[in-house]
Amino acid sequence: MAHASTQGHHDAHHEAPSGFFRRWFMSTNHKDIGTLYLIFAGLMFFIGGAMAMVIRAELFEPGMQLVQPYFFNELTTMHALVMIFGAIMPAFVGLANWMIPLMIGAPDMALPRMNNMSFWLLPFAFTILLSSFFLPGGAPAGGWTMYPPLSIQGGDGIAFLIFFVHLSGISSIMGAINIIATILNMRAPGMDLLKMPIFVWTWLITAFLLIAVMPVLAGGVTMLLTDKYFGTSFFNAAGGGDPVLFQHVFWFFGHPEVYIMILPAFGIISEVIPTFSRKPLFGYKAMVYATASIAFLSFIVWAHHMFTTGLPLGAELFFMYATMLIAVPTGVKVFNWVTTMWGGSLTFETPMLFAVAFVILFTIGGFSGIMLALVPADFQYQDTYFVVAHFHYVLVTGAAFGIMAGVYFWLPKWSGHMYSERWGKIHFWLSVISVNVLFFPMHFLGLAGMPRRIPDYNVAFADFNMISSIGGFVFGASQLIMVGNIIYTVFFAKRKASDRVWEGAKGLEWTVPSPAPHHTFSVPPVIDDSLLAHGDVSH
Amino acid sequence: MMEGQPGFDPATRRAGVRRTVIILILVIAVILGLFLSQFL
Repeated sequence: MAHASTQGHHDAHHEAPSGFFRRWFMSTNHKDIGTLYLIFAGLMFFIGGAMAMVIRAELFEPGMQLVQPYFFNELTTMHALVMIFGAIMPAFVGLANWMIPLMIGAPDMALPRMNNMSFWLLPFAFTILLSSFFLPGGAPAGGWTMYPPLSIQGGDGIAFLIFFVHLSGISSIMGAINIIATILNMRAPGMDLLKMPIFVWTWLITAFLLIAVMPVLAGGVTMLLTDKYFGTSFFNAAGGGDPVLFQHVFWFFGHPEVYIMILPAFGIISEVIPTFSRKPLFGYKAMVYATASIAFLSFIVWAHHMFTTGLPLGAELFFMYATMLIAVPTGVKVFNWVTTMWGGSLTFETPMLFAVAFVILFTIGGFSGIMLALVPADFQYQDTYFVVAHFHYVLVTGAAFGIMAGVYFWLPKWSGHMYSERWGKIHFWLSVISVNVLFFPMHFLGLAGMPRRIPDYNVAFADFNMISSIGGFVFGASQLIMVGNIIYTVFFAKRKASDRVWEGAKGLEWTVPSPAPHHTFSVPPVIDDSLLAHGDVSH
Repeated sequence: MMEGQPGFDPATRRAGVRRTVIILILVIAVILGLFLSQFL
């Protein structure tokens, strides 16, 4: 393995380019582009979060208080689009950019200029999307799923949304090609596929998912565009089309998309838990195969989003059983995380706290997913707050907590300074309590029959909505602590981070100095199996 | 043990990257082709 000081000395000759514009707008450096992605994702997290705050304020009590019903629908639609395509996905791409080359001993991504373009498409895409709020017909309001005929009965916001999907889809596909090309071709000699860190494995599989489904989404929304503006009838029953066809096309993208948003989080958790357990990951190979199994199954479960559309009984049974099958490889993962911790020398720094919370709370989201997979039960749950509770457990306490664990875990390596552990823990405890206050009552609301995507509701639902809104405000406000902690760490912190940062950390990324120099592994490292987290898998 | 160590030589790496990108673009073309063939 490359010695840290040798590496640092060698790479110190290559400094970051001078000048703000050249460094950040014309960057081809994986670390700078990773930083850009993460800053962008953070910004979008707060824009989407602000929309969520307005939604929860409106739902604080029955009756119409703050916003018009149509604007409420715009907010629910845009909140989802901003959080999915603007916050979660770019955050994971940012982490991939920063960490994959460091983890596999590569000097940079395989296609650095394309990397720059992948990122810089996003600000333009989101400018287009968010500007739709100022159109005469307002922003898209038919839900992020864009189901016709509703989605194309509004104003021209849908055209902006479709163009946004095209641009961010191109960005995602280019990012995925870059990640696959990097992992398959840029690994240091000796870094076999089955020695790669799990985060790299999960991203490799995620990138294949992106390549498989993004073109389908692009095709589907283009058909929506031609239906609205060019007289086609793909989804128009009056013209011989079928609106349910769009749902099939959308969810063929949409379900793998769910795994695109969670597999990299699995990877992060699989790095964090062994580090703070001071043990190798239990069942490394099983983790890789479970990830691949989940990815495969994600392609054959899409119609579980459509049980109430009138599918044939055979199809409902197939999609129900296939969906429940996902619990098997997911169970393998949860078992392996728990078993990694078992008997370990555990310490609970902030990344580990988020990782443990992830394992517990994501599993709650998984359990409600199994409930939703049951066809007869789903007829009851469809379009209720139970679904909202389910996917927020998966995406907030799952994906977002995974990102937070990753940011706290790697921030000292990026910045060269230790974040405030005290404020990290305050952020964690406020988040983990408030997020449950926010989302857990939604299960009860859904089971009692409260429909999703409505600005007003029966007084019978008042108490749980008020509790949920209070949780939402606290959760939203506590995220500012994380921003403050990151700004403190990057610009003001005095305590230097060591190269290895964490006592139990293993892997190539911890052999370079902290902060990681602008260029690393210009000379490929020599791999020493004993120092790799998974160096012993062949024995 | 799964094999497949990447080449260390920069030219080999470049060729590998080029090959990977071409294959992935072909995969995308096939997916789009299959998709369009359902409707056209």
